[in-house]
Amino acid sequence: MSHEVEITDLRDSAKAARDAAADVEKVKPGEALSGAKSAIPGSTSRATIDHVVSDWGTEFTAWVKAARGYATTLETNATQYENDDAAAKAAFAPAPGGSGAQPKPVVRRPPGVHPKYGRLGPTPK
Amino acid sequence: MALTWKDITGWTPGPLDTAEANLRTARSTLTELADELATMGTPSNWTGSAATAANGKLKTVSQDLKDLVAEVSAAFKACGDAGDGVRGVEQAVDAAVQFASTHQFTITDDGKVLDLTPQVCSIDDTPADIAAR
Repeated sequence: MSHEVEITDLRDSAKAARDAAADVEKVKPGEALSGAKSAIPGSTSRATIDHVVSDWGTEFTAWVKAARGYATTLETNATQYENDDAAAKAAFAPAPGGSGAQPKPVVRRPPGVHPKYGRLGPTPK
Repeated sequence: MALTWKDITGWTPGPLDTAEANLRTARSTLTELADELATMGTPSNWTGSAATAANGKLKTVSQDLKDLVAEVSAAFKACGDAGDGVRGVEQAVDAAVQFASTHQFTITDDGKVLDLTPQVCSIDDTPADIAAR
Protein backbone atom coordinates (compact mmCIF):
# COMPACT_ATOMS: atom_id res chain seq x y z
CA MET A 1 0.00 0.00 0.00
CA SER A 2 1.33 3.42 -0.92
CA HIS A 3 1.29 6.29 1.57
CA GLU A 4 2.52 8.92 -0.83
CA VAL A 5 -0.55 11.12 -0.34
CA GLU A 6 -0.25 11.15 3.45
CA ILE A 7 3.47 11.79 3.29
CA THR A 8 2.87 14.65 0.84
CA ASP A 9 0.29 16.04 3.27
CA LEU A 10 2.89 15.93 6.03
CA ARG A 11 5.39 17.77 3.87
CA ASP A 12 2.74 20.35 2.90
CA SER A 13 1.96 20.95 6.58
CA ALA A 14 5.67 21.30 7.30
CA LYS A 15 6.04 23.83 4.50
CA ALA A 16 3.02 25.81 5.74
CA ALA A 17 4.51 25.96 9.25
CA ARG A 18 7.87 27.03 7.85
CA ASP A 19 6.21 29.72 5.70
CA ALA A 20 4.23 30.95 8.72
CA ALA A 21 7.47 31.19 10.72
CA ALA A 22 9.10 33.22 7.92
CA ASP A 23 6.05 35.51 7.69
CA VAL A 24 5.92 36.10 11.45
CA GLU A 25 9.64 36.84 11.43
CA LYS A 26 8.99 39.68 8.96
CA VAL A 27 6.39 41.32 11.21
CA LYS A 28 8.17 43.77 13.49
CA PRO A 29 5.68 45.02 16.08
CA GLY A 30 8.55 46.11 18.33
CA GLU A 31 9.76 48.61 15.74
CA ALA A 32 6.23 49.99 15.42
CA LEU A 33 5.91 50.41 19.18
CA SER A 34 9.40 51.90 19.57
CA GLY A 35 8.40 54.74 17.27
CA ALA A 36 5.80 55.87 19.81
CA LYS A 37 8.51 56.91 22.27
CA SER A 38 9.20 60.20 20.49
CA ALA A 39 5.60 61.27 21.20
CA ILE A 40 6.17 61.58 24.93
CA PRO A 41 9.62 62.98 25.86
CA GLY A 42 10.35 62.74 29.58
CA SER A 43 7.55 60.25 30.27
CA THR A 44 8.25 57.12 32.32
CA SER A 45 6.15 55.23 29.76
CA ARG A 46 9.16 55.32 27.46
CA ALA A 47 10.90 52.81 29.73
CA THR A 48 7.79 50.62 29.66
CA ILE A 49 7.85 50.69 25.87
CA ASP A 50 11.52 49.62 25.91
CA HIS A 51 10.60 46.76 28.24
CA VAL A 52 7.74 45.53 26.03
CA VAL A 53 9.85 45.81 22.86
CA SER A 54 12.62 43.78 24.48
CA ASP A 55 10.16 41.10 25.65
CA TRP A 56 8.59 40.90 22.20
CA GLY A 57 12.02 40.42 20.66
CA THR A 58 12.57 37.40 22.89
CA GLU A 59 9.05 36.01 22.52
CA PHE A 60 8.82 36.36 18.73
CA THR A 61 12.25 34.83 18.24
CA ALA A 62 11.25 31.90 20.45
CA TRP A 63 7.98 31.46 18.56
CA VAL A 64 9.69 31.41 15.15
CA LYS A 65 12.12 28.82 16.50
CA ALA A 66 9.26 26.69 17.84
CA ALA A 67 7.32 26.88 14.55
CA ARG A 68 10.41 25.80 12.63
CA GLY A 69 10.92 23.01 15.16
CA TYR A 70 7.37 21.83 14.48
CA ALA A 71 8.03 21.90 10.72
CA THR A 72 11.20 19.90 11.23
CA THR A 73 9.27 17.32 13.26
CA LEU A 74 6.81 16.82 10.40
CA GLU A 75 9.60 16.63 7.82
CA THR A 76 11.49 14.10 9.93
CA ASN A 77 8.40 11.92 10.21
CA ALA A 78 7.73 12.18 6.48
CA THR A 79 11.27 11.12 5.70
CA GLN A 80 11.03 8.22 8.12
CA TYR A 81 7.79 7.01 6.54
CA GLU A 82 9.32 7.26 3.07
CA ASN A 83 12.20 5.08 4.18
CA ASP A 84 10.18 2.65 6.25
CA ASP A 85 7.01 1.35 4.60
CA ALA A 86 6.03 -0.69 7.68
CA ALA A 87 6.15 2.42 9.89
CA ALA A 88 4.07 4.33 7.33
CA LYS A 89 1.50 1.53 7.22
CA ALA A 90 1.15 1.66 11.01
CA ALA A 91 1.05 5.45 11.15
CA PHE A 92 -1.62 5.91 8.49
CA ALA A 93 -3.88 3.00 9.40
CA PRO A 94 -7.61 3.78 9.25
CA ALA A 95 -8.96 5.15 12.49
CA PRO A 96 -10.83 2.72 14.81
CA GLY A 97 -14.44 2.27 13.70
CA GLY A 98 -13.50 2.01 10.04
CA SER A 99 -14.51 4.16 7.18
CA GLY A 100 -18.00 2.66 7.08
CA ALA A 101 -18.98 4.06 10.49
CA GLN A 102 -21.67 6.72 10.22
CA PRO A 103 -22.26 9.49 12.74
CA LYS A 104 -25.22 9.00 15.03
CA PRO A 105 -28.18 10.87 13.53
CA VAL A 106 -29.46 13.84 15.47
CA VAL A 107 -33.10 13.35 16.49
CA ARG A 108 -34.99 16.62 16.32
CA ARG A 109 -38.14 16.84 18.42
CA PRO A 110 -40.65 19.63 18.56
CA PRO A 111 -40.23 21.92 21.60
CA GLY A 112 -41.83 20.63 24.78
CA VAL A 113 -41.68 16.94 23.76
CA HIS A 114 -39.72 14.83 26.25
CA PRO A 115 -37.83 11.90 24.69
CA LYS A 116 -39.25 9.42 27.26
CA TYR A 117 -42.49 10.96 28.52
CA GLY A 118 -43.71 12.63 25.37
CA ARG A 119 -45.32 16.03 25.46
CA LEU A 120 -44.92 17.94 28.72
CA GLY A 121 -47.65 20.06 30.22
CA PRO A 122 -51.34 20.18 29.29
CA THR A 123 -52.43 18.53 26.10
CA PRO A 124 -53.18 21.19 23.50
CA LYS A 125 -56.80 21.34 22.38
CA MET B 1 14.16 62.31 36.06
CA ALA B 2 11.10 64.38 36.83
CA LEU B 3 8.86 65.44 34.01
CA THR B 4 9.33 69.12 33.11
CA TRP B 5 7.17 71.69 31.38
CA LYS B 6 9.65 71.66 28.50
CA ASP B 7 9.11 67.89 28.13
CA ILE B 8 5.37 68.31 28.07
CA THR B 9 5.47 71.04 25.45
CA GLY B 10 7.27 68.47 23.25
CA TRP B 11 4.45 65.93 23.49
CA THR B 12 2.77 65.25 20.19
CA PRO B 13 0.30 62.53 19.19
CA GLY B 14 1.74 61.95 15.69
CA PRO B 15 4.20 59.14 16.56
CA LEU B 16 1.51 57.40 18.66
CA ASP B 17 -0.91 57.55 15.71
CA THR B 18 1.76 56.07 13.45
CA ALA B 19 2.54 53.33 15.97
CA GLU B 20 -1.17 52.58 16.30
CA ALA B 21 -1.54 52.20 12.52
CA ASN B 22 1.56 50.01 12.21
CA LEU B 23 0.51 47.83 15.15
CA ARG B 24 -2.95 47.44 13.60
CA THR B 25 -1.30 46.12 10.42
CA ALA B 26 0.95 43.82 12.46
CA ARG B 27 -2.02 42.53 14.44
CA SER B 28 -3.99 41.84 11.27
CA THR B 29 -1.12 39.92 9.66
CA LEU B 30 -0.44 37.90 12.80
CA THR B 31 -4.14 37.11 13.28
CA GLU B 32 -4.38 35.72 9.74
CA LEU B 33 -1.26 33.62 10.28
CA ALA B 34 -2.55 32.33 13.63
CA ASP B 35 -5.87 31.36 12.04
CA GLU B 36 -4.15 29.59 9.15
CA LEU B 37 -1.88 27.71 11.51
CA ALA B 38 -4.72 26.66 13.81
CA THR B 39 -6.79 25.27 10.94
CA MET B 40 -3.89 23.69 9.10
CA GLY B 41 -3.72 20.58 11.27
CA THR B 42 -2.03 17.35 10.33
CA PRO B 43 -3.31 14.51 8.07
CA SER B 44 -6.54 13.28 9.66
CA ASN B 45 -5.65 9.59 9.42
CA TRP B 46 -2.16 10.03 10.84
CA THR B 47 -2.16 8.12 14.11
CA GLY B 48 0.28 6.93 16.76
CA SER B 49 2.65 8.60 19.18
CA ALA B 50 4.38 10.71 16.52
CA ALA B 51 1.02 12.09 15.35
CA THR B 52 -0.05 12.80 18.92
CA ALA B 53 3.21 14.58 19.67
CA ALA B 54 3.00 16.64 16.45
CA ASN B 55 -0.61 17.64 17.15
CA GLY B 56 0.34 18.67 20.69
CA LYS B 57 3.19 20.75 19.35
CA LEU B 58 0.94 22.41 16.77
CA LYS B 59 -1.60 23.24 19.47
CA THR B 60 1.10 24.86 21.61
CA VAL B 61 2.59 26.82 18.70
CA SER B 62 -0.88 28.03 17.62
CA GLN B 63 -1.82 29.12 21.13
CA ASP B 64 1.52 30.89 21.64
CA LEU B 65 0.96 32.87 18.45
CA LYS B 66 -2.55 33.79 19.59
CA ASP B 67 -1.05 35.03 22.87
CA LEU B 68 1.39 37.21 20.93
CA VAL B 69 -1.49 38.56 18.85
CA ALA B 70 -3.28 39.49 22.09
CA GLU B 71 -0.18 41.35 23.31
CA VAL B 72 0.17 43.27 20.04
CA SER B 73 -3.55 44.03 20.15
CA ALA B 74 -3.24 45.43 23.69
CA ALA B 75 -0.33 47.65 22.60
CA PHE B 76 -2.32 48.82 19.57
CA LYS B 77 -5.22 49.88 21.80
CA ALA B 78 -2.86 51.49 24.33
CA CYS B 79 -1.26 53.59 21.57
CA GLY B 80 -4.70 54.71 20.42
CA ASP B 81 -5.72 55.72 23.93
CA ALA B 82 -2.36 57.41 24.56
CA GLY B 83 -2.67 59.34 21.29
CA ASP B 84 -6.06 60.67 22.38
CA GLY B 85 -4.64 61.56 25.80
CA VAL B 86 -1.65 63.38 24.33
CA ARG B 87 -3.99 65.32 22.02
CA GLY B 88 -5.76 66.55 25.17
CA VAL B 89 -2.46 67.48 26.80
CA GLU B 90 -1.35 69.32 23.68
CA GLN B 91 -4.55 71.39 23.68
CA ALA B 92 -4.19 72.13 27.40
CA VAL B 93 -0.58 73.25 26.91
CA ASP B 94 -1.60 75.52 24.05
CA ALA B 95 -4.41 76.99 26.17
CA ALA B 96 -2.06 77.61 29.11
CA VAL B 97 0.56 79.28 26.92
CA GLN B 98 -2.10 81.40 25.22
CA PHE B 99 -3.62 82.41 28.56
CA ALA B 100 -0.22 83.33 29.99
CA SER B 101 0.68 85.34 26.92
CA THR B 102 -2.64 87.22 26.96
CA HIS B 103 -1.96 88.28 30.55
CA GLN B 104 1.69 89.12 29.90
CA PHE B 105 3.04 86.06 31.66
CA THR B 106 5.39 83.43 30.37
CA ILE B 107 5.99 79.83 31.45
CA THR B 108 9.62 78.79 31.77
CA ASP B 109 11.01 75.36 30.84
CA ASP B 110 10.86 74.28 34.47
CA GLY B 111 7.21 75.34 34.76
CA LYS B 112 7.58 78.64 36.60
CA VAL B 113 5.27 81.50 35.59
CA LEU B 114 6.98 84.87 35.12
CA ASP B 115 5.27 88.26 34.98
CA LEU B 116 6.39 90.18 31.91
CA THR B 117 4.66 93.45 32.93
CA PRO B 118 7.18 96.33 33.00
CA GLN B 119 8.13 97.22 36.57
CA VAL B 120 7.06 100.82 37.18
CA CYS B 121 8.15 102.69 40.29
CA SER B 122 6.20 105.54 41.80
CA ILE B 123 7.90 108.48 43.39
CA ASP B 124 6.06 107.64 46.60
CA ASP B 125 7.36 104.06 46.69
CA THR B 126 9.27 103.10 49.77
CA PRO B 127 12.09 100.52 49.58
CA ALA B 128 9.63 98.05 51.12
CA ASP B 129 7.14 98.62 48.26
CA ILE B 130 9.84 97.99 45.68
CA ALA B 131 11.00 94.86 47.45
CA ALA B 132 7.45 93.60 47.57
CA ARG B 133 7.15 93.66 43.75
